[in-house]
Amino acid sequence: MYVQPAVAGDTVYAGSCSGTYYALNAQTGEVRWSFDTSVDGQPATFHTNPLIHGELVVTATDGAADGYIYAFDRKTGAVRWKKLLMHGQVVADLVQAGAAVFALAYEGHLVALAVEDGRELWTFPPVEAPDELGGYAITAGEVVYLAGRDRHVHALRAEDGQVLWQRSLGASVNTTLAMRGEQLYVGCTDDRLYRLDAKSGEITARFETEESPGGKLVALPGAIVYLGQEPSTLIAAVDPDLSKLLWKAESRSWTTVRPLLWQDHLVAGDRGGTLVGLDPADGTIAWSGELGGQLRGLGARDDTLFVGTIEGKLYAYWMVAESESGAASVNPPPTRSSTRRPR
Amino acid sequence: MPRTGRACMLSREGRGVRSAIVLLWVAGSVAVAAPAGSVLWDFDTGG
Repeated sequence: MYVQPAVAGDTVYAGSCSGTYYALNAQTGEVRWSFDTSVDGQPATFHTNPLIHGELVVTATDGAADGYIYAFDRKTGAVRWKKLLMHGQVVADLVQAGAAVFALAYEGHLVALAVEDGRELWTFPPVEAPDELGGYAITAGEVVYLAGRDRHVHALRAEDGQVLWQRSLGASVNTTLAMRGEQLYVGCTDDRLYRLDAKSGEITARFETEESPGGKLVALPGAIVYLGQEPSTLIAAVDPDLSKLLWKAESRSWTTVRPLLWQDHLVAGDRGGTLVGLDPADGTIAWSGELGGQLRGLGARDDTLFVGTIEGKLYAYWMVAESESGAASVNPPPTRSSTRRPR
Repeated sequence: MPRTGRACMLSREGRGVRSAIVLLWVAGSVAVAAPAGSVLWDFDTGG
């Protein structure tokens, strides 16, 4: 399981690498509904993070010859709409601006769909173009930013896909894009982080990293956090001006490629099944827990973390809140239970 | 992001170095914090 579990209400949503999408009771882990992608041909896999939009959960597949974008009814699992992407494999996270959802195919193009009915609004580049984008996309306001293996960052108007600016980085993008104020951040295969002005695309700062950056960049109020390219032993933070290293946390084989900022800590997990909460100010470990497996996707609700593993387990991990005196001060967790997927 | 399915396969590599990683962890520069929570439930998605 690769994806970041998404939580809405008392349900946690997660797609597996074995081709089934699940909605689980967040309190108990009981299956509310599931969807088997083999009904649409070859079993597919889920690597993209979903979008929750009203009563819909929207996600996408890869792994089969063609990928689909699915919009499920959150409560029943009924397929409200689906969109076939011919030869399109979606592994980058879906993003949204207003009433449009954007999916970036690994080989192909960015497609904009109406989130309510899956109607195609526009694509970039035009489907007949030979370019292969791949990469990552984010949205801010009415702009979609995408970056990929074509070594460019593109800013597109969300409404119609019109190009606002394009900037060559000279190297393939290898991290997600992150936004902080009016600045975009991205990591590349040339072992650098870049900062770009979001309005003009001008490169305003560069930082040479200790390892080639990969995974998700996390923009914090006072830092930009990056991981080394997997398999990575490094999580590091640099200042927003990209002028200096603030801290680094090493000696682990980090496998959670999307660290999660949760309850004032940066949550990450490793190949050995250990979950840690890092202090974002200095990278020290504030807490840790043992789960087992190779930890991958991280999601959260209130005082519970949802952690997926490469082996396919999804854990609900209840965090003990402490009072000022250090004593546990919240309700005890219910009895631990273990469930199997339905056959 | 890795190509189709590669994300899964990549992470299955290197299990043999787990013990070495643990040793590095013990000898490393970061301290192990006390456990902070407990597992409420787990679910097997099958992969």
